[in-house]
Amino acid sequence: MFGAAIAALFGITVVFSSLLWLLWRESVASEAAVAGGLAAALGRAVDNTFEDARRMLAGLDELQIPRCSEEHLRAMQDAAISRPYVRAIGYWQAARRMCGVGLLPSQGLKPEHADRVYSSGVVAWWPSPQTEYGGVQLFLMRFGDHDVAIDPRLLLDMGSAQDREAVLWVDHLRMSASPWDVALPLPESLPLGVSIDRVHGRLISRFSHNDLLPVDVLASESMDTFLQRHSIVLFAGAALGLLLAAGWIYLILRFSRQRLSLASELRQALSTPGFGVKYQPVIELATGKCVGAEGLARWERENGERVSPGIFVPVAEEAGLIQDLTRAVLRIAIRDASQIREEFPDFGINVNLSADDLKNDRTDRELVKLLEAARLSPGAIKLEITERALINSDVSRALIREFRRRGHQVAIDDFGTGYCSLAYLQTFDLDVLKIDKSFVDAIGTEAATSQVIVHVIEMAKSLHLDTVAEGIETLEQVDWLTQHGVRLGQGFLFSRPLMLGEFLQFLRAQVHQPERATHAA
Amino acid sequence: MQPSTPGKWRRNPKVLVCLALGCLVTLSSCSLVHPGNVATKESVPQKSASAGLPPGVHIVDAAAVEQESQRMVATLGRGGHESIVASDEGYYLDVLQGRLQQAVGGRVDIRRDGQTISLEILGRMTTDTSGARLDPVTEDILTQFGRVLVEYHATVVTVQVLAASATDAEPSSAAPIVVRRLVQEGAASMHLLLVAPGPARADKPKSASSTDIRIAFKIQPIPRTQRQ
Repeated sequence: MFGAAIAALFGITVVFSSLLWLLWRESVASEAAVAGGLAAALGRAVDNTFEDARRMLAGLDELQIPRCSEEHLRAMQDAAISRPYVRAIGYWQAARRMCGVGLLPSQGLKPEHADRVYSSGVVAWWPSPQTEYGGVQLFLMRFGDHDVAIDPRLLLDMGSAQDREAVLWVDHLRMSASPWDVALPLPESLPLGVSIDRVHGRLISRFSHNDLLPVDVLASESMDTFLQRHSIVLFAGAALGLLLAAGWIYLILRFSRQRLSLASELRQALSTPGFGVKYQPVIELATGKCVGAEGLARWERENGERVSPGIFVPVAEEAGLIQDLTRAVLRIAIRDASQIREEFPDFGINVNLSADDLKNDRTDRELVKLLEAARLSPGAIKLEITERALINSDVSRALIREFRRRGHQVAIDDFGTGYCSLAYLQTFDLDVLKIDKSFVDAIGTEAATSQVIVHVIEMAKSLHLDTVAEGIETLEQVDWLTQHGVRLGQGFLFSRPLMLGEFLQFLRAQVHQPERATHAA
Repeated sequence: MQPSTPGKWRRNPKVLVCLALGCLVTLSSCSLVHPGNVATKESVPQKSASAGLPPGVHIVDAAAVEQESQRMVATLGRGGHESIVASDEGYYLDVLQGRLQQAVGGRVDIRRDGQTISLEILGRMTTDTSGARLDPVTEDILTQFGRVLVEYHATVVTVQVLAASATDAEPSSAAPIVVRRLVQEGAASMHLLLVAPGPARADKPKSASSTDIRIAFKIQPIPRTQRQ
């Protein structure tokens, strides 16, 4: 239950963290979308305004009418009226304003220094105190003999984002702002996109548009406003988070209960026919002759559902039932071995021991008792111990020595999946080394493990251990293993795990078959 | 009537007053004569180089060009109608630069350096039996430039024509053509200052049928100054 509680807590933390991250990301993405869209719209508007103004001035220059005549003034008036951003249009001779229309003094505005003189001939003065008239700092543009005064505030149409502070930069110069005197960092000092200004507690977005002229839009919003605006999403997210957390707890509880009930069910099943053992033949590779079998536990629930060993073995380990499970397998295997030995006297069955079975002599005592009851010699049962179960245990070392002394063969199972070195393996009394299926699968491939199997085989040879390859599925694997001196093997190539009756038939069939020719022959 | 003798008119005060007034009028007239018509110390040795130039165009050695242009700016600035208010100087140059960009910007290197604008044209001069002439592109650029100078006349324009490279022939005959073209388009000759071509070097060919030339203009505004 402690594990379940930890899992529940971890799950809730993960769910809430993920949700918060997701909400933040979504909110920032939404902010970025708004600011990005705004920048694109403003950029287009600025481009259009500049281009339109230049064309208008060029058009006025090209008019073939007397300058400052009524017709000329009307043309300028029409051009100004049709453009909302225009405050005034003037006709100049060099630095003298000859006439004009709009809201500017008759002598016009003559700032001391132009901010830009473009190669097209457009001269531009960005808003400054020198271009101020009527309380508005104007943007001035001159092309040829006409100039236009533009109200830059009209270039910064914030639309639905009017609650934000914003600054519009055109060609790296400050063109407009809302409010006019707002202080925001220089565009170059900010990354593109949305960033957090922790010092001022605000969210600043910078977006650029570069078509006719480079345009930068900076928009700022206080974190409070930002959070308020996204509060609905945040509340919804919190509710969803609670829902998900509740769901997670429910799943954890249900899983725990299921595990508990499964353990309890397994405890009962161990002594019923629902729990059984299947036998996978162990074959002598050179001859194809079955020389033994590995007993594999199988469990079928009362409702007919088959539970995989991958599920019930961990449940048994967690519930402290693993030794009961070993004892149940031993009981069935010894009973079946008696029956098999009636026809095949020297036949032996391999039974897997768990790490817990090597922690005390309970399983050992049970094994002795069962063999005595069945009047079988210890050679009828071979014991398989996983590599992981061997790790650092004097008790297990003593038990293994005792098993061998009595006449059981002891095999190390799934070799290669643990951490045993040759030196460590030497400290145990073993008879057989079983090569894990993952190494057999790698035979003939470019996988790194395809080289490891060679070393495993060499290790077994140096320790004078018999070798069994697990999970053989192809004849090529058989050939390779035979060539490399592996004597025994098991796998679907020879047979799937069989019930006792089927296994006996398999053995009987073998008796009537000629021995498999060796690869070399 | 007895003829007057020196002793007599010296003793006559009316004659003395008339003489004094006559001298004053003569001196005043001299000071009102346009400086272009006055041979300056620098312009005196350039009489041969001024052949074929429109009247009123100043010509000066390269070494004295800065001094002479400043003198012209100062003199013309006192003229009033051909000068600009000092506070408009920056605006004037900005819009002049824009106008030049519009007129000849794609074909001419235009540079702004403080209160001056420099233009540089790379062209070609051809000489044959009918005389020397500039290539059509350069002619057109000079036409456009001259027209701009008509509107922006409150300027002194220094003109210098050089060989495009050290191996090209001395383009001494190109300078009058350039200046004439500007004046033809309406530029005020009194506002033009031509840098006299240097003496022909022995290692350079004296003339060639076709020569690459570099025409450099330096435009300075004429700010209005108070009469002394």
